[in-house]
Amino acid sequence: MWKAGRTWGQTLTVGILALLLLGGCVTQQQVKAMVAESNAAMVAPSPDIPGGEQEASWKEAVTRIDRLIASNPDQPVLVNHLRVRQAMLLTVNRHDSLAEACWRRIDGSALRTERDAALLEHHACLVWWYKRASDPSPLDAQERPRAEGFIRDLSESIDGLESRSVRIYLGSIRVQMELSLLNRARVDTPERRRAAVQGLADALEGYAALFSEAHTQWVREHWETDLLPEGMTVMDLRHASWLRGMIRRFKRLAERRTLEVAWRPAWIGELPG
Amino acid sequence: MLTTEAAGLVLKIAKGLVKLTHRVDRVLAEKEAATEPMSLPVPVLNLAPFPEEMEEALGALLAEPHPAGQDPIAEDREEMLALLKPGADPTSEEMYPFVRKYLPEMEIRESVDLSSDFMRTLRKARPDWAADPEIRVAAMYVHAGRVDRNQSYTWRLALTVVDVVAEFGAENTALFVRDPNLQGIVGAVLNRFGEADLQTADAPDAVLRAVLGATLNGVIDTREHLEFDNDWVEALVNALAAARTRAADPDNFLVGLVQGKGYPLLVGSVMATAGGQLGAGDAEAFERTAASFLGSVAGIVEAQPTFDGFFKDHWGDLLRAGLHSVERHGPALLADEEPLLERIVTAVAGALARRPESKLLTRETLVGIVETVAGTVAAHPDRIEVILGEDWLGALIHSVAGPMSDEGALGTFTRKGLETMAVNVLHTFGEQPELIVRDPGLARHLLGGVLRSIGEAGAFGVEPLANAAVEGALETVSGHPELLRFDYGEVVADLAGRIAFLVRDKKVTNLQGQEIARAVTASLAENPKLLMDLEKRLAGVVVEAVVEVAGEDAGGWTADAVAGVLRAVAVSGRAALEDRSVGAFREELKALLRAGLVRAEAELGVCMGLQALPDVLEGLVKAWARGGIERVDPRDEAFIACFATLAEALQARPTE
Repeated sequence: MWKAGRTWGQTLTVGILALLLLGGCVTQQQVKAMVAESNAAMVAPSPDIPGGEQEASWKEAVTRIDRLIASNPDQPVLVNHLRVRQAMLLTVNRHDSLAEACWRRIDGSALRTERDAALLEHHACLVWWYKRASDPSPLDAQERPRAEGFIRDLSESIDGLESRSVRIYLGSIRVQMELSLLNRARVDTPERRRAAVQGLADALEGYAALFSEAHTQWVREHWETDLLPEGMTVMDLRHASWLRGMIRRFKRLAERRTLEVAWRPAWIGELPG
Repeated sequence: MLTTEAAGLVLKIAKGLVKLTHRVDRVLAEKEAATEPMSLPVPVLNLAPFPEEMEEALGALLAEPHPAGQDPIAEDREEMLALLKPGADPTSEEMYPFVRKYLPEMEIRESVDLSSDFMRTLRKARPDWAADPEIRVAAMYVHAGRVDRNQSYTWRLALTVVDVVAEFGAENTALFVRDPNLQGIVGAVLNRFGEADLQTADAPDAVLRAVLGATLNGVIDTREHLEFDNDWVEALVNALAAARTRAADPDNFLVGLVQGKGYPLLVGSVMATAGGQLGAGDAEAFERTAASFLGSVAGIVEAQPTFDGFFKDHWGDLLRAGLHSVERHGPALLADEEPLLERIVTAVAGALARRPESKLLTRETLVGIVETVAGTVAAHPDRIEVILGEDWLGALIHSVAGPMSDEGALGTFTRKGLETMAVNVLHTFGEQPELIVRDPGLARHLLGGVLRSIGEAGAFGVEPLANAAVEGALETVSGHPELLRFDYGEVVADLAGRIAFLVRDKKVTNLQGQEIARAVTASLAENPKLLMDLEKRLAGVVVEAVVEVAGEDAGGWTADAVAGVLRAVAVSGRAALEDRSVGAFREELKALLRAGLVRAEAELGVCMGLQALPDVLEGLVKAWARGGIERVDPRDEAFIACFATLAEALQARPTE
């Protein structure tokens, strides 16, 4: 029985509010929390993030993603993007078998963003490299062609990506592999020296090309200092710092091996050794 | 006081809002998972010493003195010595195990840890930020980048609202529409909208398809309420309804059809044609044809999955072609009790499904094929089984699709040029169906043969030449169907090729080449037996002889001269060839034409004009072939007299 005096508008407003409260965007809130948790877990292994282990356990994040997927089986786009996060957690934490299995379960046609599509496309490279990069032993005869193939694949897709942060991320993986290959090459004959000089210049040029004018400007002006200029975001600072770090490694390697490299672009050559 | 009716409405609205919230939640959850940034650290790269460093360090290790019997590297010394002996060129990976074992301080020469580099920089630049775990996590963000354009989440949210509103409207049609008839239609359409689940559609065009499908299905569901002003529209709706009933997946049948690009075209055609050209009886026939066609082709598509895309793109074209055929050959196609048109269109679809090159056919060529087949059946109803047989249809489709898929032809001709030629060929056959009944391979010989021969010359800009040859040949063969008894197509192709070589070698211009092609194809009808003798290739011999003699003087008269000389050879050539080989004939013909040109130079402006030159040369060749010229020499008095007589006679002839 409806009470007299209550107007139409009141009835509707109360009903709508009640239903909105009841209905609520529950799944969205769960996914939002999951994204935050997985992001924290992703960087947890870094020794430079103190307390990371306590703050976020990647294993827990992996399990929670599984639960979220299980409760939304009829949403392929949601499920597959969550799987990419899960697979990256396993990849970054070097659980290569589990990571591979997780990547294999992803349906690429359900992915909607270029980052996740690119991660899926290069997952074999990522799984291998996250595990291999920290092992200092030189790449052997089986590994070298593999690395060269991954470098080629990455180069092909990096050019087609619009997002600078995705390009820089994949480009950083690529340049690490290039540096590893160049480090193991002998330079005891003129031909080998020429090849090494060329390889160093090409690899660094390809990496530097991924960065914006603001990044390169920061590297040129802050070769020895660590200031954050007005208006520069923390992500831009990260990118610029990566570029500077990689230029330093390349120049150091060339110097130690007494290689005269004509760095490209020319401003790299003008930076102190 | 709120009435029961109003309370019911409030509950319905509330129910709709719950549904909306649930769906919005789904979309936003998906957006969150897909587009939020992901924190991704780059791995730490550890590098070994480079090879020269390892070589030097291991060398020093080997050289280190040690007390007798206490060699720390005794177990590996031999192997290391072998590895480092002069000229051995050891690799990094061969030396590294010894470095790791005996020189652990050198195990990692360099560490590349970009994430730590950055954290150090951040700590110096903004210590407060570096201490904030959230900023540290955000600092490692890799953004999602471009979101699939078709999946804009704003768009998806808008569609979700439309979906729910449609469902609400479907359940409460009476609130919006008073007319009971319209209520039924609007309710059905909105119901279909709700079922279409628009928010799951991938892209705007998918939404459009779903909307069209929903509308069509809704309209068809309630067609008894519709009052059609136009028989054709009614016929189409009924045809689609009949086809839908028979489809394996009736609900998606129309959406499937609508996914094809042919749909708007078909409807457009129906509307245009329905403007009064056909009567109600025809409309019924079309209804039968369309329904039957759609139903039976579904089987063809199922049997040939690779044909699926082509059919979706072109089913409207096929039906439209059938429609045009009714317009053109209506009585013949419709008088028969058998649904002939449906058989034709289905047969063409079946034949197309079996031919991979048919994928390259365009709308116009498809229409041309159906029209040609329909016209042929209409003109030769007794041969329907043969015409609709796979061989005959296959030959026709291959005739036009083959050359268009030929990579060689595509390298020489533009796609548009090939299409134009194919459509022209089909148009001629449509107009003269008996041509193709007599020789189904003629199209292939004419189109494919000419394109191949001309393509082989590799001349630049030969499309007009190919066009001229094909058009000229078709025109000639239309007027002289008896040519079909000979290998007309092959001869034309051969001649077109020769002319293309002349164009390539700059012996004639492209324009002259076209004129010559037209002249030659027409002249072949004069004496096909002689000129088209494949072994002698006499027509080609004549063309080359005239062009060679004309040489740099070749002008506007060359094509006429070729035609004139061919006529002369057609009429009198048999006598000249009786006691000569083709080679001797060619040389003597060239000598005769050269002598004629020398005389023409002397007589021009005296007793003849340039326009008479081709006729004079024709007369000269006739006289020579009949034995009327004993000595071919421009200085010979008898020759001079003969030439002058011909020139004067032709000059005196009244102009037409």
